[in-house]
Amino acid sequence: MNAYATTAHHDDHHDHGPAPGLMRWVTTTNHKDIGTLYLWFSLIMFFIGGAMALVIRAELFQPGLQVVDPHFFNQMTTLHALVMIFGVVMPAFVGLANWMLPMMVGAPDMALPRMNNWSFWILPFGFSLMLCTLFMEGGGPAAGWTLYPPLSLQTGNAFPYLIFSIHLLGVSSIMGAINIIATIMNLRAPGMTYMKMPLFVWTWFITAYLLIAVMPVLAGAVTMLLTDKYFGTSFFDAAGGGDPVMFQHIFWFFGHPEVYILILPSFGLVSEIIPTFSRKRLFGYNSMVYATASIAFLSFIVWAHHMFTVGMPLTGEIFFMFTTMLIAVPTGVKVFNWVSTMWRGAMTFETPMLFALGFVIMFTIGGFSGLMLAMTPIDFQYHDTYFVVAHFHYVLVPGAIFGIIGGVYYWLPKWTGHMYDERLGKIHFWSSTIFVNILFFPMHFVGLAGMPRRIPDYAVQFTDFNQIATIGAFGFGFSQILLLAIVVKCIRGGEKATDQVWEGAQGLEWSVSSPPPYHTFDPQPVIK
Amino acid sequence: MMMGRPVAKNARMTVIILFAVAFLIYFGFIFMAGTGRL
Repeated sequence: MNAYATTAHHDDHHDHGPAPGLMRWVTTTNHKDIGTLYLWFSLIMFFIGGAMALVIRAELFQPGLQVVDPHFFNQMTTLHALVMIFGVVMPAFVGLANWMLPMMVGAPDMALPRMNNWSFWILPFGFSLMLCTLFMEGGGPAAGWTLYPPLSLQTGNAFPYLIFSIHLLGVSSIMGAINIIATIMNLRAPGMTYMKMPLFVWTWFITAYLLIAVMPVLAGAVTMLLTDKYFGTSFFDAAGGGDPVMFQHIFWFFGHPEVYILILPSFGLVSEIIPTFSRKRLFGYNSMVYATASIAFLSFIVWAHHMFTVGMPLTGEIFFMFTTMLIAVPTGVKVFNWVSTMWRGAMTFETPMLFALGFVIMFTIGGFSGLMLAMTPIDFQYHDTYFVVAHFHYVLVPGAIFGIIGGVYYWLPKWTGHMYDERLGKIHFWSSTIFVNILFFPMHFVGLAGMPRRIPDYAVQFTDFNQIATIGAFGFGFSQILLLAIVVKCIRGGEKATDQVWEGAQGLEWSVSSPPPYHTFDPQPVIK
Repeated sequence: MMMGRPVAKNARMTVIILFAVAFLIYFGFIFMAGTGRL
């Protein structure tokens, strides 16, 4: 078959709209439909994971045991983390990538549309496997999301379900990442060189490589756990010549790059939003790209900072301390570039910009507490305390999640063709921002005072700050119902959105109508 | 813009290479852990 024949055949089917009914969503290969599926899935999981967080916070409202028994508490901490990481943040990023990447690089669709459908539909099955363990005899996994052996090997019938579920989520992520790389490398519009790509595309490009590099490591680690439990191997069993600490090294060799998988696309989102609402070009585009690549590289040589207290040679501790602190340099480049973009810009403060600004300020707080944790001698005091919980929640909630929410508000008029309710959007931002700080800031204090994480009970002197945190948790949780209401209201109608939507918006995605046609950019645009 | 087989072919190679890398990392880590090389 020659190239012309293939194209002609393709064009025959090109004006078809979506299939009618439910089957549209099951069989779709359209990047916009799949993006929508990912985003709705992520929002549903956000409420499930959030409900688990509220169980944790309700139990921690007072010292002693009131609401749930300790074993169930441990299941909640474990599943809350797994759901939020693999079910909320990662699918939300993939959803945004599916919707926007082809439109940003001028491609008609993702490079591998059928694999794209498969990547998504694996997720509901994966999470069904994981969450159904809650109803099993012995309950769900309760050893923490890090699954350290030998504790995780004491999990009951839930264990194989959990391992298979993690394998499925890994397969889905790897396929999604391969699709994104293949799209960016092969389907960019003529004239769109790598250094002309929008920052969201760049950050996702680098994130996709991280995913391919580290998801197989996690898969390998959990496969070894499985064989240790059921097939008589002793990878991590000291009695059989194995080493449980090796699991921690392997896990964090995956786990630390994973942290950047959870934040780099948000860097990209913020780098799209801030120039738009500052009505200026992004300051230091090239340095942003190099900083992202540097962070990705450094993420591979810092993993042991998660396990300073486990024991390692002094030279190892010094090495991992300095490499970790080095990450502050490219991250600082980014923060200064965002601030410089705003400098003397004609700024306005619509909801996406508010979330982006919240991101810059509160992510930086999380970054600084990370720098504190990077220092080996000090980490011996902070390790496994609520200070760590405060740190990574600052990076992930007003960091990653605020970036995602900002991105959703930014592109919602493009997706739906309607403007969202700006007044409700601002209320959502302010209630989220106030409550997220009430929730996580006190955790710094109880952590510094020595309150351990993953414990359902605590000493009475920690009560006040825990009660404040719990009030913040419920406030933040209920604020997110507003997000759902705003999205639903926007889908149902509202002021008509223009094609460009935002006065300062630049990029290919704003050159198509709002909402965009089912198939965009065929033939591809030419970038000058 | 001509969007036919050459582009699809490139995408196919990208996919094959990336899947191969992922499998190599997966089995590589298990092999190294199992043979005491990690």
